[in-house]
Amino acid sequence: MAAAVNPAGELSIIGSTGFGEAAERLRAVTVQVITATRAGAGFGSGVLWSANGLVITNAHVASRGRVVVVFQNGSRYEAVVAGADGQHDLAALQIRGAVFSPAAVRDSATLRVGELVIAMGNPRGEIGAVTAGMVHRVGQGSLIETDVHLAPGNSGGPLADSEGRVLGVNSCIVNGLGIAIGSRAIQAFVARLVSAKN
Amino acid sequence: MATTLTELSKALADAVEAAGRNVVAVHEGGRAGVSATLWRDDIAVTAAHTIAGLKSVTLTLPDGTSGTAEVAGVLPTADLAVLKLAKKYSSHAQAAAAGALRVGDFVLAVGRRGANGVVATHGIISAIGEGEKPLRLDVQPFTGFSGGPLVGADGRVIGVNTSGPRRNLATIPAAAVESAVVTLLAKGRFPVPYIGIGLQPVRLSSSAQSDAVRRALLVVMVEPSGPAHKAGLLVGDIISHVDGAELTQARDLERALKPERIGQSIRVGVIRAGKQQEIAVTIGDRESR
Repeated sequence: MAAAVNPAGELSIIGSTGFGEAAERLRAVTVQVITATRAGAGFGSGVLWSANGLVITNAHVASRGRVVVVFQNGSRYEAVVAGADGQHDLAALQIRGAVFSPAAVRDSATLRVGELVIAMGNPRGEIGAVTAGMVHRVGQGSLIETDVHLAPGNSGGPLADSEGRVLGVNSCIVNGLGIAIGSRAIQAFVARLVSAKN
Repeated sequence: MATTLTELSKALADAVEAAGRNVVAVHEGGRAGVSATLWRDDIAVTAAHTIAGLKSVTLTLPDGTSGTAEVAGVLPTADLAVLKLAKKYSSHAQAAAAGALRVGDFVLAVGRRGANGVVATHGIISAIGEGEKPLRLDVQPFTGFSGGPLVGADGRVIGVNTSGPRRNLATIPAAAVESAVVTLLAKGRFPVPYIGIGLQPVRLSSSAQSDAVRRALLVVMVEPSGPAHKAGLLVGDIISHVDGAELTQARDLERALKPERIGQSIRVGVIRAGKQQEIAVTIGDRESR
């Protein structure tokens, strides 16, 4: 890999597509989650998890009732909360009307400290904003700590690896570190939902 | 696919993993534990300020087992403590000289948080001081990284992290760490150069006609039987020169007292009874007096 500095003083890595390609893959599966609250509308993010229209977000974004899910191409869906797990800060939203192309998911247990990651979400109403950083720690209980800069509105949005494969959903910020719920915990949550339904 | 980026990501994770094999957690340090870097099979180094006053510490070793270490020495001129492990541990950092570091180099800070494994963060070198001065970093100062290694993208150890000004991370260069460890192993402790005087900064007008002000040091105490006493320095002497050079600030004398000069003499220029004279003082070791 070669690096060069252009006349504007910006460093560019020649031969790399940067995070652009990963971001493109994420863009199609990252949604805005709009909830009705007493104070007005609440905004968070979510990630399209399965072909049958299951969208994963945080329980602190939406844990009951009806919500609206908006894709970045503008398509808009009414959704119901299919289940929530406050302990893991996870919620599942069900949208219907199409066969969806869900996110490529990577097992969070394969993640290594030092890997580069990106987060996509809708911080402060900024649709599809991307921030990047490094895996700070891989914690117990499928928690992922990163030094990615998150902001309110990132909640429920995907954390992905350098290839755009989803590792989990961003949940909160502790001591400046971004905390994401790993895909391991999400898969277990989804499995519990499915078995409860059957 | 973003292969180059993926390769970089993997290389960084490899570097963290390699560096992590030399990082131990120190449970007592800081608010929630700090890190230490293995430097020999039975020697680790950490940031001294995090374990101030402690004689021994408990550790989590890279393989997850627990251990203990005694604080073998604290280098007074740098924020560096040397720990002697109770039990040898086979893996240790390559104390390779960092070589050509440059401002802007990409770096990784690696630590170990209790029994919870390795932590890492990243940034760049923002300033490089002369010689053994700490490197300044542009790295987010998350807790627990003090005492852990700063490594390059290739995993090579650049130095040991400590807190710099405004709680930013700074790094004690590997060469400084190595020389401290060598000194401690050879002597069993860190020698402290001294000449045994108490000083008060004063200002001198260089002449009655001039307003120019020079800095000097007034001797207010001479330790009985200390190096300065033996050399004949007196209370009331005004130190104006060190090794022939005019003092420009009070720290010039302190800077001249280097550990490697213990046993050698320093030329102290003094003004006594209005006359300039020079006195040779043999630098002593405070700890062996």
